[in-house]
Amino acid sequence: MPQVMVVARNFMDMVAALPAAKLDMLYDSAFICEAVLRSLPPLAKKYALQMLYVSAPVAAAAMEEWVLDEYAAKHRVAIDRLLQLRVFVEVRDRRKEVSYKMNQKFQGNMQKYLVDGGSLPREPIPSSVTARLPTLAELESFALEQWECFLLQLINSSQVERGTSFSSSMMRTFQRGLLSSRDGEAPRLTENGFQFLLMETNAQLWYIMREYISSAEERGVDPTELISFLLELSFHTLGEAYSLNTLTDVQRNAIRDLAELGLVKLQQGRKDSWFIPTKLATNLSASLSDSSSNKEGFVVVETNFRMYAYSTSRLHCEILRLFSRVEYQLPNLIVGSITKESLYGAFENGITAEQIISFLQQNAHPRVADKIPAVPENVTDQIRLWETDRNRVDMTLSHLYEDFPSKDMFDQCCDYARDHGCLLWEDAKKMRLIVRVEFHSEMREFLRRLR
Amino acid sequence: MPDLRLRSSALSRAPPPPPLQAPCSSPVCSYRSVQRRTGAREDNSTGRRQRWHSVLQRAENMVNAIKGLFISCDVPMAQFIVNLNASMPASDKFILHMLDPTHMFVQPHVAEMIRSKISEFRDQNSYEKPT
Repeated sequence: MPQVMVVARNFMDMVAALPAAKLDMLYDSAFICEAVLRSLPPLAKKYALQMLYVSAPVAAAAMEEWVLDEYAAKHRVAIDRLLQLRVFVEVRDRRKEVSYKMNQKFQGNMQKYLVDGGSLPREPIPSSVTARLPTLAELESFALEQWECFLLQLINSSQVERGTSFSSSMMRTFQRGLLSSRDGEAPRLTENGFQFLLMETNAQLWYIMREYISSAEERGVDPTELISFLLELSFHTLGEAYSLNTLTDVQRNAIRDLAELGLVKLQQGRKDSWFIPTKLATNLSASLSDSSSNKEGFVVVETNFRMYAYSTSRLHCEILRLFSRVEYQLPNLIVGSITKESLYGAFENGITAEQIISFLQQNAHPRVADKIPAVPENVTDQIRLWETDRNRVDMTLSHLYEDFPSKDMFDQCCDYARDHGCLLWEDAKKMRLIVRVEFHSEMREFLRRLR
Repeated sequence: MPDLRLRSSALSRAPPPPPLQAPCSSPVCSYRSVQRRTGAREDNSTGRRQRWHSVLQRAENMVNAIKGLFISCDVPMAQFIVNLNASMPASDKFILHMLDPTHMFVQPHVAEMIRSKISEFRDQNSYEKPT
């Protein structure tokens, strides 16, 4: 994965950002407590479990003795995380010493969980009502197809056969930061947008869900309720049907949006309607590092700059079109070539040569992935050379100083500018010097002092 | 590199640019006017008038400051920009100082124009197969 500028934080970062009162409300639900516990770093998990039946505050100094000295940094990270999520609450006694106490709601719910065992947020509908449900394979293909359809619409692709029913203002919310639109021009993918497309599906999903939740208040919806519902959703069983009647109005509206994204599938019976969580939904509470979905590569690049992508995905075709010239789009094969003109189109959008090369290497077809290198060197070198060809002229806004009355004054000014790292050019013979434009006022002040 | 060779040969066939004449400097920066304003306040007494006179005399030798763009590039691109400057009418010439074969100082407002001319030149030297 290339250096991703788009921070695809998971839910727990959003949870941690909530104000204390809302966070405490969130812990009314045992499922959220469980999800939070799952998301903690290992040491923080240990501390949470260790404190589960301790009701009195434990001194911070005493807690530091739970780890060896060389793990003090890990200890600090774990404690910070517990405090951010308000699993631990800081307590100060009369002697101003810091102690940590467990959040009472969190503690109560987790104790009950241990004693009674886990339960589902809601019972699935019996199979006598739903008759035939989609198989897991069908659900997965539905989810990916729906998600891809959303992504194509997100990047304003002309390949969208059937768009989602999101309003244009909602789409603009999702596109914020991914697409840029100049006056009169069609929106184009930004550097962040390209990086977004290169992310794996779970990371993309978190980004979109974050935008969805962040914009909730603009739609008159409480973000806390949304977060609560989404975390709850991840505890539903994959492939089981759950009735829409058990949902609140906010949740029912959210479910329809989630169906557009491929997180759930909606179905209608004679009397009932129900939703079926897909794998995308059950992955919501998984942390980024737990993700183990390694997609198989599909791209073969030849030394003659021809490119063959063995893929049925229209989204893959759109991604390749960003930096290559797609010549044929067959049902399961995309044939293209990497040309200077197509790469310049990508460079103008802010996509870098390194991003393109990383994409080609990480998505190399299994037949070429083991070769060294997976992408021919003449191709990667040429991509880099074409990029540097764009940057042959370097321009810096500056001030030129001339007509110095004395050599001594000229030398002092040169040294002054050089010491501040703002000297761009000097010509001792003609006594000229050039400094960055932002340094002009300081230089003027320096000249005044030399008077 | 085929493209570079093509570009170099294209540039080498260009007519040699006429010798550059540096245009007159742009107006002096506010530094001198500040000095003049300061000097004007010291004309009360004979001794001070003498100091004012010496200040004014020194002001005439004060440093000129010119705002512009400092350009660094390789020799072929520098020649391209010089040729571009030569092809402009006199009122549109933009090179203030040719510092050396790879550096120049130009008017501050011509950055976008130069970039688009370079891009245009690059496009003229490439062929895109019709779709």
